[in-house]
Amino acid sequence: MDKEFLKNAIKKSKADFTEIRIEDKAYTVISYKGKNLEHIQSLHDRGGIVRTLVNGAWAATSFNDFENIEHAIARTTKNAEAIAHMLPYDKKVNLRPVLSVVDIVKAQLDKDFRDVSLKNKKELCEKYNDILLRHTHIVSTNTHYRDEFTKVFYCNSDGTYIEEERPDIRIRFVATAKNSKNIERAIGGIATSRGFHALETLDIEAEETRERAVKLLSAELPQGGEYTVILDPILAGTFIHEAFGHFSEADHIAENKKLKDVMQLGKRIAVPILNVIDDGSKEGLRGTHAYDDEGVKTKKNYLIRDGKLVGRLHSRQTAARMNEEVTGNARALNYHFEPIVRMTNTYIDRGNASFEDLLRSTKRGIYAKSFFGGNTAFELFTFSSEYAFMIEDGKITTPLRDVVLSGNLFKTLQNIELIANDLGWEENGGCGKNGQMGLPTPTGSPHIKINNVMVGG
Amino acid sequence: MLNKIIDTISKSFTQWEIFVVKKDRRPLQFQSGACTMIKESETHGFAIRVIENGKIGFFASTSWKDTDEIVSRLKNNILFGKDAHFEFVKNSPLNNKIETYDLDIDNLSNEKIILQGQEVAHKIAEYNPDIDINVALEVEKSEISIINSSGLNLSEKKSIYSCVIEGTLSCEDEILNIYKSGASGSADLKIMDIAKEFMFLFEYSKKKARLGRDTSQLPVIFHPDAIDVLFLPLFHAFNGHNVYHRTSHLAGKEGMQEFSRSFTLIENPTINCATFSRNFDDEGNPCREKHLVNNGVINEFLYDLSTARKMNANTTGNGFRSNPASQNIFMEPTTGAMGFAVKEGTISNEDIVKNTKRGIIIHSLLGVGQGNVINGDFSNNVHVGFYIENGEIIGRVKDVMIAGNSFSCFKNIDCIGNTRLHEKESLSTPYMQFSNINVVS
Repeated sequence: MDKEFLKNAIKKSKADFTEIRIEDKAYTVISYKGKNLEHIQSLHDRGGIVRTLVNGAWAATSFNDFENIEHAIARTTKNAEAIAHMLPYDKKVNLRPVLSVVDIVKAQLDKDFRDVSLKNKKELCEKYNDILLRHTHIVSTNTHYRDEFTKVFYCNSDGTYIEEERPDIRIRFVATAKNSKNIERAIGGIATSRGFHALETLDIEAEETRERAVKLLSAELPQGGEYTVILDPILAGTFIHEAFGHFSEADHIAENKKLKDVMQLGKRIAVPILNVIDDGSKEGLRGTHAYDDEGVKTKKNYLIRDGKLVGRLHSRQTAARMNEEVTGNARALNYHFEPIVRMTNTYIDRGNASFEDLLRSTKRGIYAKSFFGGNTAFELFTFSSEYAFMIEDGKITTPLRDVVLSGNLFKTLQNIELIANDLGWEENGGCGKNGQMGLPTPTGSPHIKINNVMVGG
Repeated sequence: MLNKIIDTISKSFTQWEIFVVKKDRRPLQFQSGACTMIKESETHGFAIRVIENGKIGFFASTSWKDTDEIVSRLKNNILFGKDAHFEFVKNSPLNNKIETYDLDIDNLSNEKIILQGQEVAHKIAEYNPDIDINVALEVEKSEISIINSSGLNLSEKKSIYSCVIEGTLSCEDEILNIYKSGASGSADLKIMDIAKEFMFLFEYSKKKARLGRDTSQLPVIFHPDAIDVLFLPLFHAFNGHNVYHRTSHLAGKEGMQEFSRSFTLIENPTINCATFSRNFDDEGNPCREKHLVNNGVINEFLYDLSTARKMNANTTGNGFRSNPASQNIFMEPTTGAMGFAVKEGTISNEDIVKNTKRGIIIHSLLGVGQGNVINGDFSNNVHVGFYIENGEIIGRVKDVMIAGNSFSCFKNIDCIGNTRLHEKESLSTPYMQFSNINVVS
């Protein structure tokens, strides 16, 4: 994409503010299901989106045809004009001023997947798939490999021009085990922005995925009720993302008076041992980019410090509305979408306890591991673990399956009793919001112990 | 551009298929009655499948300047490609001619849509000005074409009009968030009816109800808005792809009485002006009505071309790139479906509620799909649900979870209502009541 082409197109815009984001993505998909190769695909997705602001009103147009980019800007401006005069004053959009930036950001990869042959990628998938299949109870598998190399070109009428390379690579293992009574699934694999090398040594991960699926066949369903739960780093990270993280997105808060009260900065909302951070600049994670999709530099943002609410996540629009600083959290799934406020890499910081402390202090509870799914409706949250165990007298005992945890965010944040010092990251997760599903949003946490959590059964 | 691609492909391959999509979406967003965003979104791309030496090659792109590299990419993919178990579809006349496109949707101007959005928001604000309302109205039109080396040349236009209403009401002790949506393949989408149902949920949520200690035997009534949690395992089980891979709970049970005699499940993309309406699937095979369950007996599974051949069966016209409405060029056709409907029972939806001495009715659940879908197990938090006593809705229940097994539920259905809702959407059912669901409060 030619820089001058984009700058010239923006120069001709009559809108108060204009931005263009172009994405050029080449990707490869290989997947096995059971013993069969299911897909081997080469794909190329190239498109752009124009967003204009006219007298406080937004409009946007996404497209694949670059020849008519000036026409797209003109049409978008006309659409914004059409609604601007109807917008009441309190709905008019302002943008928080930011310094304009000109930058080119290259990806740093530990083995560039674009240099790996299709043959080698396929052989790697086949190897892991064979490992997953090596048990009589395994009836099906899904080994799914996907690499994406995206070049993003961002240009706006404030003078910002950024080119950023965004690589993403993942391999996902699903092992499905069956006996006369049950069908169970276990999920493994990794996702990373660091390169192909991280995918080459996953034999043990594949073996563990297979064994977990088989063991789940004989696991018991939990008895419904309230429990003390210990969440592993994957599930605790999911909890903080789902239950609290979405609450800290300022687009929810900016338009809701009650939520503004609930989420007032400085308010104590959790136990003092809890610290929560969102950091889009943390090196080597999938939620990390140099700039967000409004050209704002990403950074480390404390959301909860010592149990007190100290920050929230912003786009330029929400930062202006709430008169707060930008945080670099305006992200778009792809060129079909305008940026909205999203998390990046969100984590609970280390505590002082050890995992053994958490276990020892639990007379009867559930140790829930790994994430299967979940969502929220404001203060209500629900998420499920892939597998779990009973804890009896401080010891891990009976294996459990289909453990679904549910509760109220604010009560739960006050019920965190202990936080361990073993921070771990989970990068496989993708987040959905406003129709933008699957945005990479890694989560991190140590093991945490929470009292009085409702478990379905 | 398309002709150039066809020319390039046909010179290099004897068996080829091109699938072209042009899709235009026009969503308008409203906040508290004001239109805050008009968006136009265009997707124009192509997907190519070729068969050579019994192997399949696949390439897809939204860049129409990729012509030069198509052949080399396809040749490379074929070297390692999967086995082709089928040949591309030959041209044959379609028996159906159902309406998939409504010109009136295409003609809906932004001005008209803005008026509709404002009217909905105004009505809700009249009911309760404290509800923060977000409305999204969207026009989608698309045209797909399938051209192949066997002489097939089909195209179909499609249109959808959809509405989402989301409202938040902040009370003293909670923030209640309610979501209602509807969609149709015709412009006469009843937006105001969706708004009325939305207001009904807020109205009945005003009062809170407690279930008490003994909740285990409570009958559970599913409003069609929340019933997909029970159907996800069935969708998985009837998908021929999963039958082939032995992950279907119902594999090998054709002809067996697996469910209650009152239960008949149909899948039918050939309904006029529905969101899923299609005359042919994404491989060019004609779509048709299928009875998956007849009076509780497993009748047939769904197949795309390749899976059908592997199963020694015939395609059911369910070869979709994800589903009949997605038309996703980046996916190869596989077994997909929409347009599921449950045959009506004899009792009215209203009487199901009136006849309930003690029970709950569920309108919305959290975490749908997070359980063991293959096994049929579910465990979900009730987001919007009401306690019923002596046939009357008492109030909204909070901190309640339900858990059970979908396959067991359909074996023991208490009753099915006589009126299906959401007829133009992907799952259309009446109210259904079950007694073998565990309710935890």
